[in-house]
Amino acid sequence: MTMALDHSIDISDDALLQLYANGDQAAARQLTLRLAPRAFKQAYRMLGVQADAEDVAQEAMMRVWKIAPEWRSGEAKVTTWLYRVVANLCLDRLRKVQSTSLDAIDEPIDPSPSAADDMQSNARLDALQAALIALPERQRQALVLRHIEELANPEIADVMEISVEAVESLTSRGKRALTQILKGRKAALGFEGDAP
Amino acid sequence: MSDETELNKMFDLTRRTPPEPSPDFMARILSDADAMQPASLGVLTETATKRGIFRDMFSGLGEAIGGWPAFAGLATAAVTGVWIGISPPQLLIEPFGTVLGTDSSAFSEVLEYGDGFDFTLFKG
Repeated sequence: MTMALDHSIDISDDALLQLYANGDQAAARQLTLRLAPRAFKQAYRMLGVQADAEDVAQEAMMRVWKIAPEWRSGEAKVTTWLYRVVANLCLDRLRKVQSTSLDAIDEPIDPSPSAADDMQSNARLDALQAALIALPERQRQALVLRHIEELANPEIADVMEISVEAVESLTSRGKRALTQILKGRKAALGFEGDAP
Repeated sequence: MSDETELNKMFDLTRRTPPEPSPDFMARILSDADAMQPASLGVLTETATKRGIFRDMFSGLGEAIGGWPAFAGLATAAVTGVWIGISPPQLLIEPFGTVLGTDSSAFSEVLEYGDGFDFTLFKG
């Protein structure tokens, strides 16, 4: 999607929300470009199903549009708020479909050829996504925010509304669990024999 | 190689290859944004604002004069005034006729100014 919005690049999310609330359509497009892919990505890592991730991201973005006129600039980061909305929507959805089997999980979306142009990379991507989905929800959420979205622990604590210590505990246990899940697949993923 | 390193390699690969939403996803988001943008509701907002101004004005006036019973009193007084104008009681006909006329002596009688008073005294 190509949009002539380069002039908005230096504008903060807060300011764009204000502009959107004042009827600026370019602000709506810029916010969409900035926030929607991020919301989708987070939701996909949590849910593993493309259509569900898009639904969650769309619902989260609707909440962005809705809150824009009431947004208080400087009180919270828009992205932190959005991470929290997406996280909660994902948890709601996961709890509604507790019985979802792994059969319902999509095949991981094909990455761009330049980033993962061999079968081994695809195998690793698939394996990590499947292993994430197998984790308990809170551990998965903490790991996605820490190791894929690369948020700092205090921000994750803010998103998940828990203490920093609890975040550290969740990520630590989550990584141990991932290691256990992937342990038997080292050879298939091409890790055995790698240089240290 | 340690498990930690392998895991970090996989996270790194995952970060570099983000999932792509379907082509119509962004269009749907933009459509929602347009539909929900406050300016899209401009007419409604303007009407509501005007209505709000009048409501606030009457609300403020009502509070200043004692609430809705005061409005009832004002309405009664207004209706009574109109009724008197259309169909004045018999006793009021003469004095009103006098006041509205040009006979100043009769006027002084009505208002009981007493003998010797004359409006001509005020003339220069």
